[in-house]
Amino acid sequence: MKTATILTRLQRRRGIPGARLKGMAQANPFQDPLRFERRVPSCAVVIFGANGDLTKRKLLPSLYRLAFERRLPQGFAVVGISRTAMSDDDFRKTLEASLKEFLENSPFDQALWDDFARGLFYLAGDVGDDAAYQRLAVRLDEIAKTRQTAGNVLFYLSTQPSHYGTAAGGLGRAGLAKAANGAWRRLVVEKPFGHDQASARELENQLHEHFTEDQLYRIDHYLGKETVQNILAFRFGNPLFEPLWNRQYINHIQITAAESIGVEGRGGYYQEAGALRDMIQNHLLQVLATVAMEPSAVFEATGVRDERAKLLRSIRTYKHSEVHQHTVAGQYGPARVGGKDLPGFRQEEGVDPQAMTDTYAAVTFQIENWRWAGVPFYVRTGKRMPKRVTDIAIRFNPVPHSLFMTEGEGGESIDTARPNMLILRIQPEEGISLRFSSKQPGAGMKLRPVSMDFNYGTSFGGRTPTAYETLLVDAMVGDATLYTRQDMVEASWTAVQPILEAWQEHKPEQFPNYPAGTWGPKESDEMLARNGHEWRIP
Amino acid sequence: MPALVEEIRAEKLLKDLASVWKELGQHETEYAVVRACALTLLVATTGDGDEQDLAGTLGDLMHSNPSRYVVLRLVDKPEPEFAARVFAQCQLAFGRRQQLCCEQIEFTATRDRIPDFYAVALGLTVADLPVLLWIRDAQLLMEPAFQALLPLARPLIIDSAQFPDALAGLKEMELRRDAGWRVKDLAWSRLTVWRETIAQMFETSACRNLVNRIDRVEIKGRFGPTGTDVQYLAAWLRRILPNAQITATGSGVQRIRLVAGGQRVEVADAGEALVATSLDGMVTRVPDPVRSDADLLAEELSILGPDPTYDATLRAVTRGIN
Ligand SMILES: NC(=O)c1ccc[n+]([C@@H]2O[C@H](COP(=O)([O-])OP(=O)(O)OC[C@H]3O[C@@H](n4cnc5c(N)ncnc54)[C@H](OP(=O)(O)O)[C@@H]3O)[C@@H](O)[C@H]2O)c1
Repeated sequence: MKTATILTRLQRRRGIPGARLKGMAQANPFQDPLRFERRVPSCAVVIFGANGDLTKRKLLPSLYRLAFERRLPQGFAVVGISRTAMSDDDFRKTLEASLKEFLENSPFDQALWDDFARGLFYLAGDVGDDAAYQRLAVRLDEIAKTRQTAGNVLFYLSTQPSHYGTAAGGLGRAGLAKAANGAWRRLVVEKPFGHDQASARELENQLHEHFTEDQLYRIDHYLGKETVQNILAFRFGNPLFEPLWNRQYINHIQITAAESIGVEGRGGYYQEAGALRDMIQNHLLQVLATVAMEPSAVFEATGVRDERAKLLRSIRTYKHSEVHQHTVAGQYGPARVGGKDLPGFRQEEGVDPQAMTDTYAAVTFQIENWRWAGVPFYVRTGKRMPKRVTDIAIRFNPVPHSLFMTEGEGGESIDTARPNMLILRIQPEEGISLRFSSKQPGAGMKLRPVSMDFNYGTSFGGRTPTAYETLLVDAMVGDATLYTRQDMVEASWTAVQPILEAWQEHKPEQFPNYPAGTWGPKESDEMLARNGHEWRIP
Repeated sequence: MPALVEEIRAEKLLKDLASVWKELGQHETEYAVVRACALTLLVATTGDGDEQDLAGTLGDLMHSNPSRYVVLRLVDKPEPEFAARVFAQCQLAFGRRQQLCCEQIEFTATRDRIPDFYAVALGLTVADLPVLLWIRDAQLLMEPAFQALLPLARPLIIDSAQFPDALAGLKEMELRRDAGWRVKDLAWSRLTVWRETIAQMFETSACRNLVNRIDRVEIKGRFGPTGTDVQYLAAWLRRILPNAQITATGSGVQRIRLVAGGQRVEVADAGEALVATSLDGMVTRVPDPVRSDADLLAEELSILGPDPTYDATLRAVTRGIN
């Protein structure tokens, strides 16, 4: 475990060579950026929805891990807010219990917890009640003194999305969005950023009423994943691949995010969202942008986000009449898998038996720029697929003229050279594989595909930081590189909105259209077949 | 006569290694075997009795730095000896379906066979990947016969805590550094947590304002004569706080105190943690679990390029600035 702690720190520093240390080495003469972690300034983190699932499962364990790895500053405090009445001590006890439950792969150190817990505070309040923000302001002033947090505050909205605007307004009216004496105030917002384009704009207006864009940190935890960040390192740190990264060499790209589980008690929420909104509009379009964006001049927030945004804006917006040709919606039905009966979506708890929700979505995106014109980006996601896997497959063009033909059963010529395929695996076995052709041993000249494999986990053992650890540190440090910006949110809604509308207008006739435990509806295979392509089996 | 010793050739050892892999692949059905290699680590050690210890360290290290390990064990025997064996160490990475395997070539040799080892080792380093030499028994650095092996690698890793005379040992290291080697010291990596804790304390503006007023630094070690750890810390702080009066005694750091007039900040050892007390008496506990050699090596292996802070500190110690 000790090894893991140290490795994690070292790897993180290595991720993108030195780049993220830039401009941060001001004036602390004791720093040694080669060996020490990036410095987190003194600050308080205020969590709205502190009694909720996300706080218990992700936020608090991440903060504790950061404390364990000596990444938090001395001047640090957490203030939790939700409606339930609790004392500071009750809050600490609740979090201690949940921490023990959700701290994966990490040791629980009682002495460290006792020390950490002294910096945890609780305030009962309703996001809709202005008086609660006045109480918060008083509490933050006290804490700034007793915990030396220097007046810096990271507000984290971990409540229902409908509260985001209200909370931002409450903070603004109480004067909490701005600080004196050079201290900073930032606001972290969890997805979803609206449920369609109009509501996304409305949310933006509410947030911007009191917070400037550079104070806003919209979290997309996919971008915090080490392996998604590694896509940038792979693309822009290796001159070998970048020259091939265009329409001249790449035939098409497939992005798959499959889950084997169903909606797991979140049926009510999921029924309103659906796969397209829940995964593609945010996470997978961000992954697509990371795969397809141009290199930025420097690795810093504005440059990287400008390129991502530019790419998202280049995605072709479909007319309603085109949508059905380039997209497929699916919903799983009941099936018997591995000797077990799995319910269909409509039979899940909390789900309307007539629900028209998409639990599967596949879209052919087209990017209208010189690099990618004519290269389809197939993106699919679904629940109750055969396994949990997220990966990106880059299919290269076939050789222009094959030397290695063999005769098929009917006497036809078959090319034994298969096109190269590069697979960037995001989960569960993070890594990169390159498929290429090799001569089959023995007489004759038959080629066979073989795979060259790099495994992130086995090449860098130890524990990698969770996405929330990475993103929390980034927000406290003020590095927004991995956060989504307003123009990116808008651009992805622009791409997705016509699909939502067209699906709304023409309800799929036969839902469910794929049995649980399969790779999705046959219409999805047909969508690729129209271009002469087929989904790979990840 | 040396002629009595069987000839050992690099090609033969590499061929033996290839058979080891082949066998592993054939016998292992449940878990895939992944052969991984990021560098060649040459390890020089002496005597016997620590085989298990060393195997454990290399086994732990391979998680972060899968390498080809080439171990030279120097033994004192009346007759010349030079023998080698090859094997692979495999571990099932936590929660994974693959076994990570690293190859190891272990030599036992009497000192008169050092030139033979040198010649074989030249053919055993993995192409195009970094080569490092960990001088596990630091005394070897002083041995004339051992010098012949130093050209095998540019980065040399030593644990200066082993030197009975701290300053003499650090001076030897500095000599190699001057001659173009990249010297790394596990005693320095052991101090990272102390240095980082101090740096963290000076993140608050209250502490930061104190920096220019620090007039006294006390570094206290737990044991007898001044060790390389305390020397390093003193030199590091002297470079940052040139106007402070520094007193540094003992080895095995127990406490560092920085004083500015009537105010002070302090970091003290409390077993598995450091306790940092800042200006207004606020106390923070910083986990500091015992770090194994594998942990320390992993830290050093993560910095294969220049390490300006360490280099300047080593220079400062040996040129007697503190
Ligand atoms: N859970 C996850 O893994 C996950 C993953 C990605 C994104 N998210 C997003 O993160 C946000 C939080 O998710 P969650 O799963 O933690 O939700 P949750 O379990 O419903 O927690 C929200 C908490 O907010 C508090 N709350 C509700 N109404 C309030 C009000 N009017 N004023 C103050 N506090 C109020 C509630 O505590 P009281 O009853 O005590 O008030 C509740 O415990 C959501 O936007 C969600 O979409 C969650």
